[in-house]
Amino acid sequence: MLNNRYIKSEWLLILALLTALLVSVRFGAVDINNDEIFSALKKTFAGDTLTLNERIFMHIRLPRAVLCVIAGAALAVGGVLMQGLFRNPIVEPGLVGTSSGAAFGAAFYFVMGSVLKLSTGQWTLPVAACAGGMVSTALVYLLAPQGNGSKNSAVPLLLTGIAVNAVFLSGVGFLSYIARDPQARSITFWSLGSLSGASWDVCLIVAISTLTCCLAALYFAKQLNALAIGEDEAMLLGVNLNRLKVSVLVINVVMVAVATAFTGIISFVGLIVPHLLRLVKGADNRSLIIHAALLGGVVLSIADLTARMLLRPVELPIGIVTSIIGAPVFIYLLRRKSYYF
Amino acid sequence: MLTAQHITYSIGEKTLLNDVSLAFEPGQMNLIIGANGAGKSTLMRVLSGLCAGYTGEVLYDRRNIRLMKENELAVNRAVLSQQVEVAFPMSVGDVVMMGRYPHFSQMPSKADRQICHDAIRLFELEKLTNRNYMTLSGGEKQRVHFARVCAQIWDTGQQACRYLLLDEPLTFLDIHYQLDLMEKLSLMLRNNRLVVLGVLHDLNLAIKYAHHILLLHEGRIIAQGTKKEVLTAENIKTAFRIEPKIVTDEMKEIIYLLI
Repeated sequence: MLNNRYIKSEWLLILALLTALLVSVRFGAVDINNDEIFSALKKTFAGDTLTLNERIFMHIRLPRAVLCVIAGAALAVGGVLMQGLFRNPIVEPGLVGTSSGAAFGAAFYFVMGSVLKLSTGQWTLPVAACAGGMVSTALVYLLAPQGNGSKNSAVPLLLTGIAVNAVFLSGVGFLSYIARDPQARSITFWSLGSLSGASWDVCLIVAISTLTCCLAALYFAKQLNALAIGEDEAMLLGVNLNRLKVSVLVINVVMVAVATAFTGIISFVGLIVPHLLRLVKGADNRSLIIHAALLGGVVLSIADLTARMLLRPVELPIGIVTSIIGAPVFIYLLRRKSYYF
Repeated sequence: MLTAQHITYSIGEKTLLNDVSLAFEPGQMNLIIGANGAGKSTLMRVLSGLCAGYTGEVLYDRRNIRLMKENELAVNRAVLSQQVEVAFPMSVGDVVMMGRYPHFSQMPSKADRQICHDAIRLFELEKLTNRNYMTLSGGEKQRVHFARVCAQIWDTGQQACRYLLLDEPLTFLDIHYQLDLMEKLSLMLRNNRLVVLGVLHDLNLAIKYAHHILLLHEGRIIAQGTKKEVLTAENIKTAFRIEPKIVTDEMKEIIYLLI
């Protein structure tokens, strides 16, 4: 009853994901053909030296395509979790402050990094962004009034999120204002998202955090389902509400902050993917999490490919692509008569 | 057995429940009546474990609910709330399955599925099983939640006493389903390890089905016991500000109120 109707669509999504991977490794500023891909893989295993195109494939294209798939999964699953937790389909993972905090962390690094003599190594920026995202989310959680007796106690959290977001975004604004031109450009660029920083090390880190968090999310899927009929009802069905809230928030912030730290802010994926899936697959969170992980990867791969191909050889920030495609799709979904929310 | 000892619950200056003590026996239809704002729903919330800030104790089989975990309570205690909104499009079958959530950790067992199937059949929802819950009428939704709470405390031959708390369960139902539901509850009560406790507005339905009536007025119990003891002309006048004609049979048993 609950099981069988999902199996087919999962395979379909896996197929789509592999196709997207394959297409996105082939095209870009330089096109790479199938022979080069095969010989690159063969030579890497054998330990031979690679040609230029093969090196582009092995060290730029492939890690980037893989990061796309993982980061897309992180954002989409984060969206499922936040929408489930707040019982609201218009919530996205950044709503509890994660992405604005991450942006502040990144901006702080760009502007103050040299003043404070922060290390210029490749890990400083992601660490700053990740820390910013976690600090802001923790602030939202600590500042939100613990409304006892209110019907929906997620609302204070949501409203506090809006306020904290405003503070951190004005912080980003202030830093951009006092920044020198190249620094300000870095901030803008980071806020629009890019996957050009992908490497195998990055892939590994994001993969570990995303996979762990997705598995943890699956564990809470049943309790999130119960939350769909209300916080009181979930408690009456045996859910420990506080534990669920804290766990889901932590899972979301770790997954999204780590991914965002390496990709910058990518909007709309976390909002649209869960919507799209709920429309087709219903609202069971277990199925939503599995499907969102796959579809998020597909969507972000397509977006990244578009960002690279549209003004080739110039590369667009991916956040621009996701917003410009995402917004109309979102409005179309909302206007469909068959959609209840 | 469900007992409450000296429950007092206030919000700010306002005392919603004032020294309420009660005991509900298994195998009986226990109904709470009272005017709007008398404290019926608050009492239900305290008894079901949703309120924390009360004084006094609530005991399920002599176990204090303050010391019980949510899931421990949910295995044997189901609550039908006044109004339940589902935030996302879910099928009727999925909503009924929620009743089994306290009983499995990740995936429902075969037994859980069978119980949902039986609960759906009991409330004549077979044709709606795959329908989106959000598209149902008020009465249909109410029946879905009945199926859900019954699935939650389904009789699987367990030794423990089970508890069913119903807050105005008949609101959205037509007269056919109102009677149908009360009959089903009476039938379920033949299993004497079930405590049923309901808030009802229709005094005549209370007369027809209740074994034990509790009359609340301004947060206090002003009478409890059999219908003969509780539904006196004086009590009804105090609690509801109406003066109905009480129709009795030759045994002086109340048959109905002519309002």
